[in-house]
Amino acid sequence: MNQTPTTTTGTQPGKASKRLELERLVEVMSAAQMQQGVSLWSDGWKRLKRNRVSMISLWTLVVIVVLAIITPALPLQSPIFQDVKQRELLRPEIKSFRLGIADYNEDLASKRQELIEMSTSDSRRAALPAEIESLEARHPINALWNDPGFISKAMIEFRLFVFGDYCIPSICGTDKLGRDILSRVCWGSRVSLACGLIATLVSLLIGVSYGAISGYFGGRIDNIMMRIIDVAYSIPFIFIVIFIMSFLSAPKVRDTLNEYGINQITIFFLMIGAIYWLTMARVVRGQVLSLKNEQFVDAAKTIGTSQWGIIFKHLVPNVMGIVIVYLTLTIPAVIRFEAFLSFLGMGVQAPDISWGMLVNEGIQVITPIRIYWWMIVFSGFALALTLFSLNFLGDGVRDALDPKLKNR
Amino acid sequence: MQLVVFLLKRLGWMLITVWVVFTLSFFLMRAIPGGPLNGERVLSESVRAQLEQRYNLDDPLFVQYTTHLWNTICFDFGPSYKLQDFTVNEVLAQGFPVSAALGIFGMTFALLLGMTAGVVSAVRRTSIYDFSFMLLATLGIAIPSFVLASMAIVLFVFYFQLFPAAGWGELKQIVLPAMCLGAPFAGYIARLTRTGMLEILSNDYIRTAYAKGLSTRTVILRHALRGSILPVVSYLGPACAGILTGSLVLEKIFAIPGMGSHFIEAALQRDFTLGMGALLTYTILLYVMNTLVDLSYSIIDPRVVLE
Amino acid sequence: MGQPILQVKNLEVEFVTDDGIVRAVNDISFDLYPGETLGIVGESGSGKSVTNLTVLGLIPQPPGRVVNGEVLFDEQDLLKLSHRQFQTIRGKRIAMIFQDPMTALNPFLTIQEQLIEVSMLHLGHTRAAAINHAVELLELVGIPAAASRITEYPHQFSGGMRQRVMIAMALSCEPDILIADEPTTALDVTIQAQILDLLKVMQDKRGMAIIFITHDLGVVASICDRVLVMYGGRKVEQTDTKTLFASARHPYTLGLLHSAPRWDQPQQTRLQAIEGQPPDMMNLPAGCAFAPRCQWKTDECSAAVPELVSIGTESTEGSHVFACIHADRIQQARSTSPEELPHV
Repeated sequence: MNQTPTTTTGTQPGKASKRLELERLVEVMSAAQMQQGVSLWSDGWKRLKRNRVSMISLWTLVVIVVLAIITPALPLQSPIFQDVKQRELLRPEIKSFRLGIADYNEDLASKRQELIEMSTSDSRRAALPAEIESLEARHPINALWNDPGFISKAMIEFRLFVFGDYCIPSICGTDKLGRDILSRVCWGSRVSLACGLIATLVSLLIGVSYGAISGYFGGRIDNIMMRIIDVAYSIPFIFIVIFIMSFLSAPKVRDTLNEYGINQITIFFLMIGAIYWLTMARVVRGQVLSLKNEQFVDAAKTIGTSQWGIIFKHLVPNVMGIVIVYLTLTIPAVIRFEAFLSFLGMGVQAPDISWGMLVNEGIQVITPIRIYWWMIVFSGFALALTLFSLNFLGDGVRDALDPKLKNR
Repeated sequence: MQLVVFLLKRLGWMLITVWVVFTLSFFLMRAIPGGPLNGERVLSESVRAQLEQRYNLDDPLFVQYTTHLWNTICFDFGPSYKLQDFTVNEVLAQGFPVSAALGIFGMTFALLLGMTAGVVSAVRRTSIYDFSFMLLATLGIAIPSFVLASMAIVLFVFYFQLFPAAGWGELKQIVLPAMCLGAPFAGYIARLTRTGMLEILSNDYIRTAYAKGLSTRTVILRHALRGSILPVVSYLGPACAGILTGSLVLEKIFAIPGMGSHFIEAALQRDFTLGMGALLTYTILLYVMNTLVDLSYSIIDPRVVLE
Repeated sequence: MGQPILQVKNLEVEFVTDDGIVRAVNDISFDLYPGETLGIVGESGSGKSVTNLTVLGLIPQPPGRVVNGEVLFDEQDLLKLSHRQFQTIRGKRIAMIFQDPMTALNPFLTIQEQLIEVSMLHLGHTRAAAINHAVELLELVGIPAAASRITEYPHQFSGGMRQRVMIAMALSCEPDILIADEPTTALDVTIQAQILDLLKVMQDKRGMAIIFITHDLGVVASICDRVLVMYGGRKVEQTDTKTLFASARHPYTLGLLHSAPRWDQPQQTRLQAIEGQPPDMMNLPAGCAFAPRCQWKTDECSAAVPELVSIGTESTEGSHVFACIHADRIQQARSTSPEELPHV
C-alpha cells in the first residue's frame, strides 16, 4: 500500500489507526514509567538512616575525625613536653596549667608588625628581619609540638591568638615522663586516623585496579595475575613487614632513607597498604568476572553501548557496592594493625605519637602495687571507640546495601 | 587419587612460596645498607667468627645464596645473632610447642563460644539473646587484643586477683592469655555463624523441610547447620593467621616464652638469623593450615571439587 | 461431588514491607473436593502462591500477616494451629511441591537422606524400611537405576529428575492433598509434559486432590478439572475447565484466553496482549482491580469491588462464578462478533 504524505487532517483510515496505535503505545510507556524502581544507593541510604546504631556510629566518627583535624587549634598542652621531676605519673587532675609561651609569641608578632609599619629609611630596618628570623627559628612552638607542618603551625598560632597561655588541665593524667595524656591521645589520633585513611586508599587503588584488569581481560592474563595473588596470599605479609621494620629502624638505614626524603611514617603507611590490597583485588576480580557474564551486560551490548560505556556505566557502579563493603572492613583492620605495630615498638617512633604506642607505654608501667590505670584506659578507650564505631557503621552499610536483607 | 594430586600440587606451591619468602628476605638482608651483614657493629666476636665461617661473606653473592638456601632446605637455620650459644633451631624448637598450645586453646575457645552464640542468635533472632550476644561479639571484634589483654590484666590480675600475671607452666597461666587471644575470633565466628545461619534459613530448601513436617530442631540441626558452618570454615584460614599474629603481642604482654615473643625480640634486636628462621616457619605453618581448611571445606560441601 | 476436604474462607493476607503494606490476598474463598484437580491461574503477584503457602502455614509471619479468614481441613482451622500441631499435617496429609527444583532440595544432603526422613517421621519406618520405600517411590516416578542413584546429591541430577524426586518426596506418605506450585514452570516443555502425565497417573492411583498453581493455560487444559482465576488477590472467575475455555465471562479471563497463541488461528492474526500493567499491590484501586486495564469499564466498576455472581449453584458440577458487573453486556457483544474482541 503506497503511503503518500498528507496533512494531519487526512482522513485515510490507515493513518488514523496508526496514530491511535502510537497513542496507545505512548500510554503503555507512561504507565510503565510511573512504576518507580528503587535505586540501590537511595534505598541503601534510606535503610542506613533507619539503623540507629549505625547513625550514632557515623556521628561519633565524624566527631572524632573533626577533633583530630582541629587538634592543633585546641587549647591542649604540649604532647611532647617532658617534665619528669614535677609531673611524673600524675593522676587525672583539674589543676590548671599554663603554656608560658604567649609572651614570646606576642613579642614575635609585634616585631613583625613593626617591620610592616616601619619606613624604609629607618636604621633598625636592617637588623629587624634577622632578629625576626632567629626568633622564628627558635620559636618554642617547634620544641613543644615537634616541628609542626605549615597548616598545623598556622592552627597553633591561631590557638595562641585565641586562648593565649591557657591549657586544659591534665584531666587524663600524665605519663612517666610527665607528658599530658589528653593531648597525646588527641595528637595520636591524627596519626592513627591518617594511617587508616591513607593505607586504605593505597590498598584500594592497587587492589581495585589489579582486580578489575584481571577480571575484565580474563583468559591468560587473569590466570597469571591470580596465580601471583595466590602465592602472595600464602605469604605471611604481616610477619614480613615486622621483619622488614626491624632493619628499617637500624640507624644507617634511617639515615639513607632520610636522604631521599622518605620518613619512616610514609614507608610505614605504604607497607600497610601493600598488605591489604590482596583481598580487595580478589573480590573485585570475582565481581567483575561474574558481572561480565550477567545478562545486563549482554543487554547493554545489544543496544550498542561501547566497551568503555559498559565498564563505566555498568560494571564499575556494581563493583562499588562490594568495594565499599570491603572498605568498611579494611579501614578498622588497618588502624588496628598500625596500633599493633606501634604497640610492639615497631611502628610509629617517638616523638611521633600513635594510640598503639600509648597503650604500650601504659602496659609497661603496670605493677601490682600501683596501677596507673589512666595510662591504658584513655588511649585504649579512644582506640576501641573508633574501631567500634567503624565496625558498627560498616555493619550498617553492609546491611543497607544487601538486597537480600530488604524488608527483614 | 584426586586427593593425592591435590596435596602434591599444594606441596609444590608451598615450596614456591617458601622460596619466594626466602629469596626476599635474603636479598633484603644483604642489599639494604646498614643491614645485618654489612654495618652491624654490635656483634660479639664468637658470633661474628661463626657467621663469617658459615656465610662465606667473601664469596660472590650467588654462592652465598645457594649455600644459604641449601642450609635452609636442610633445616639448618644457623646460629642466632644475639642469643649466643643458641642456634636458631634450638630456639624455635623450644618456642614452638608453647605457642602451639596457646594457639590451640585460643582457637578452641573461639570456636566453641562463637558457634554456640551464633546459632542461638540466629534462631532467636531479635530476642534479648541475639542482641546481647551480637553486642558482645562486636565488642570482641572491635577491641584490639592487646588493649583487651591490658584491661584484662588490670581487672583480673590486679583488682580481682583471679589469675597469675605472667609466666608459663600451669594450666591457670594459660586461661587468661588463651581467652584474650581467642576473644576477637569468637566474636567474628559468632557473627559469621549467625549470618550464615540466617542466610541458609532463607533458602527454599528450608521451606521444603518445613513443608515435610519436620520440627524446628531437626530443620536447624540436620538441614541448616551444615551449610551455615561453611563461612566459618572458610574463615578458619585467616583466623589461624590471626591467632599467630595475635600471639605475638600476647606472648609479649604475658611474658610467655613462645615462638612469637622470640620473633618479636629478634625483630627488635635485629637478630636476623632468628628472625628469618621464624619467618620461614610461620610461612610453612600458615600454608599447611590453609590447605587443611580447603580440605575440610570440600568434605562438608559435596558440590566443591578439589583442584 | 461430596463434601470438600479443604475449605478456604475469606482469606486475607498482607505483608508489611519497608516500602508499604502489600495486600497480597484480598478475600478469597474456594473449596477443594477429594480426587479433583483444581487449577489456580493468575499472573505473578496475583496472590496464588501466597494463598497456598498460607494453607500450609509457610508464610513467614513477620513480615507476613494473616488478617482474616479460615482454612478448614479435617474439621480444624489450620490457621489456628501451632507449629507443633502443623507438623502432623505437613508432609503427611497435605504435601507441597515447589517451583524451582534447583533450590528446593538441600544441596548438602543426599537424596536418600531427604527422602527417608519423611517416612521415618510420619510413618514410623525404620531406616531400612524407609530406604526401601524411597527406592520404590523413585522407581514409581520414573528415575532410572533408582537403587544406585539414591545415594547421590541433588546437583548430580538434572532439573526434570529433581522435580521427580520432589514429587516422590511429596507422595511418600500418601497425602490427601497435593499442592503443586508451578512445578513445571522452570522446566522445558517436553519435560513438562512428562511431569504432568506423572501427576495424573499418581492422582489416579492414590485418589488425592491436587491444587495446581500455574500461569499457563495450556497446562490447565491438560490436567485440571476445575479452574479458579485470580487477579489482584481476589477470585475473579471459577468454573470447570471446559466451560472456562468455551464460555469464560470475566474480561481478564477472556484476555488471557485471547493472548495465548493457538495453532488453529490463521497465521496473520495478531496476538492481543492485555493492556496496562499488573496492579500495584500496595495501592490497589478501589473497586474492581482489573478496571484500569479493561476495555469495557465504566465508572461503576471503580465504585465498588464486584461481587461474585454465579450461574448454577456452587455445589453442583456445572457451576460458574465470576466477578464482573458487565458480564452480560460483554457476552452479548461477543456473540455478535465471536472471533474478535472489538477494538476501541
